[in-house]
Amino acid sequence: MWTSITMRGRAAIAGVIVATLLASTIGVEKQTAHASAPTIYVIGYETQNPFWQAEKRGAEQAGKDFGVNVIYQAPAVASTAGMEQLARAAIAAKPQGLAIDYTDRGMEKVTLDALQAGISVVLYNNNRFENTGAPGSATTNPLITGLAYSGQNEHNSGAVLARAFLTYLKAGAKVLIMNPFPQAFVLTLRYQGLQRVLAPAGIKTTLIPGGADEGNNMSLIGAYLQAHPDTAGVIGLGDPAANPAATYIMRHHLKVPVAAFDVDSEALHLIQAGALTVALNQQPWLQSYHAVQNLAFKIKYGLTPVNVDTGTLIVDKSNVGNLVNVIQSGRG
Amino acid sequence: MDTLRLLGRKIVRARELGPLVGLVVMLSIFQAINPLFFTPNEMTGLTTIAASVGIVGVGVTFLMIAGEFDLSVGAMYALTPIVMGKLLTTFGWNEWLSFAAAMLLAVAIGFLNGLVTLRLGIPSFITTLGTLFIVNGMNLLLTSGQQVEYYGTSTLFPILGGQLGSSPFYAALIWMVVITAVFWFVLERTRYGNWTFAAGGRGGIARAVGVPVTRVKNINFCITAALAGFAGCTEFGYLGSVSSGQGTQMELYAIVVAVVGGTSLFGITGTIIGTFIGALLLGTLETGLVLIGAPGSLYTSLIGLILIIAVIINVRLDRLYTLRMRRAPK
Repeated sequence: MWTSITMRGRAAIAGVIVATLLASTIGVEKQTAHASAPTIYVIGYETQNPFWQAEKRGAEQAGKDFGVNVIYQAPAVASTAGMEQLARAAIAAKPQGLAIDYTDRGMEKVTLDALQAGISVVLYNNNRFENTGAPGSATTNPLITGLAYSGQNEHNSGAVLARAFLTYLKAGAKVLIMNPFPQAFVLTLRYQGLQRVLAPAGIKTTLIPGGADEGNNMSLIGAYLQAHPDTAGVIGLGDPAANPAATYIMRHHLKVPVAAFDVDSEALHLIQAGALTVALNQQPWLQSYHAVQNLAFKIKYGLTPVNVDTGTLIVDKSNVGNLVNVIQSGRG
Repeated sequence: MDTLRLLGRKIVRARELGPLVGLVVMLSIFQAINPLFFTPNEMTGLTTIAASVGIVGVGVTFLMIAGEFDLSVGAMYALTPIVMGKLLTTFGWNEWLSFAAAMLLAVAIGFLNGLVTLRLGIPSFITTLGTLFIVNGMNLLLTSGQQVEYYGTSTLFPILGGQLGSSPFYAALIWMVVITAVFWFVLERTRYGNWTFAAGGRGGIARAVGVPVTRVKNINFCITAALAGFAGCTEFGYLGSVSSGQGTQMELYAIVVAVVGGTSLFGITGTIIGTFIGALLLGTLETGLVLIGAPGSLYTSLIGLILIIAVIINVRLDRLYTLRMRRAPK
């Protein structure tokens, strides 16, 4: 019978078998929590960044601690469109809870659809309710603005870090700022927050774009510092920007203070070594942890989710010791 | 009976059969694992993803059949709606004029891609790689890292990306179906389609029989850029916002859906319907994995695996078919 089937037919059948085998190896992710436990989807901004890996760990730990099944999903490349698609697919799975990173109004419809589907929703890491530019473009829907949020205010965090960094700068100093993800609006907000404090203090800033590759960013920063030896400070708007800057400065024995947003284990080491001067820790692990906690308490006990400010903690050499164990264990 | 046999043979020989079978199997498996697969929200997600990559994929397929590549489609996917949004919100232009101007820009960039590739003899892979970087830079320059948003009253946005009544489907899906139908007709039923196939082969021979190879390829570059830009505008209509990061890696996904759908990397061979199926397959895979709770990172790995399998199958089929044709009695 096999020989009576055409070549194309045989190939099609082979393709079916392969596809079936392939699909069957995917399986369903093993439920390490209780089989009948509520399911919570957590939608992140991207998969590849250490910051977002901390968010993923926080969510998953909360799942274990509170007895809920947590499924973390994020697009491979950071984008609102990617998150929206994943959130929509998550709604189709009819989970009991959904944690959303509300980066901009593009997430509005899917958030409302989740609420309409009877899914409990909280926001974390981002709750972009402030006006984004065009008049009237901010989300004012009370169904969304009333949702609990665990995270930090990006614009304000820029101002907080700038105030801390100013103590290391003289008036008229020139500061390099690197944005590793120019398409990430939250980093633009941090930049605006920095400028709010630095500009009136007479600090001149230069903004350069970077990328996701730490080595590449180090080359860019190194090239800039060589061309501008009067640079008095470097600020990284996100990871990886300040870490490669601090590494370069340490290797070349320069006396240039560096400030960072987001503290990971590498940043801890650089702070202890004195290469990274000051950092702002928004505690990504805690953001998603509290998001899942909020949802777990609501689903299981009917409690109302609460807002959690995960902090604008300034970390420097004087208090870094407190954070070492926390961040190195992946809970930073 | 003979008619049925001929029909059966035609179906089995169709390049679309493989991806179609793959799609049916994938749909069946996901539905079997989680019966919530065929629900409105899932269908919204699946078709939205499929429409975005499918519209871009149709353009890329058309160009690949003609023997060229365009790696700048991902950047065009963002640039066109960014320009449209900027003209609308910053300069207060009429939305239709903004859209038209942005689309003209897309066509112009496609034309430049063709000009550099065909007149200067630079491989299209390199030309459009350069364009990718240039346009990405333009996107960052225009947006300064911020979203471009528009949530005001509009007659155009619902047409581009609005919901179709109370159904789970959005306008982008209709656009994908229409564009697929139109380009299938052009490719399979018109002289221009024949020219496109011929241009993908040996250019000298095609020119010798009167095919305007350079003109055909240039037009196809324009079509590819225009469709990429249009797809970006449908997403703008759907979300109301666009950022410079939108469309990142879209060029790779578009090539994947074209190849999975049966289009050859070496030109001459391809099918618009296959690309349509490939796009649905990609949308099914992404939403299905989320539905069954599989790790999100698995999606990217599986796309790579499916791509390799699809190419192996297509190459084998081409060789076997050529062998059978040579051996067939005259």
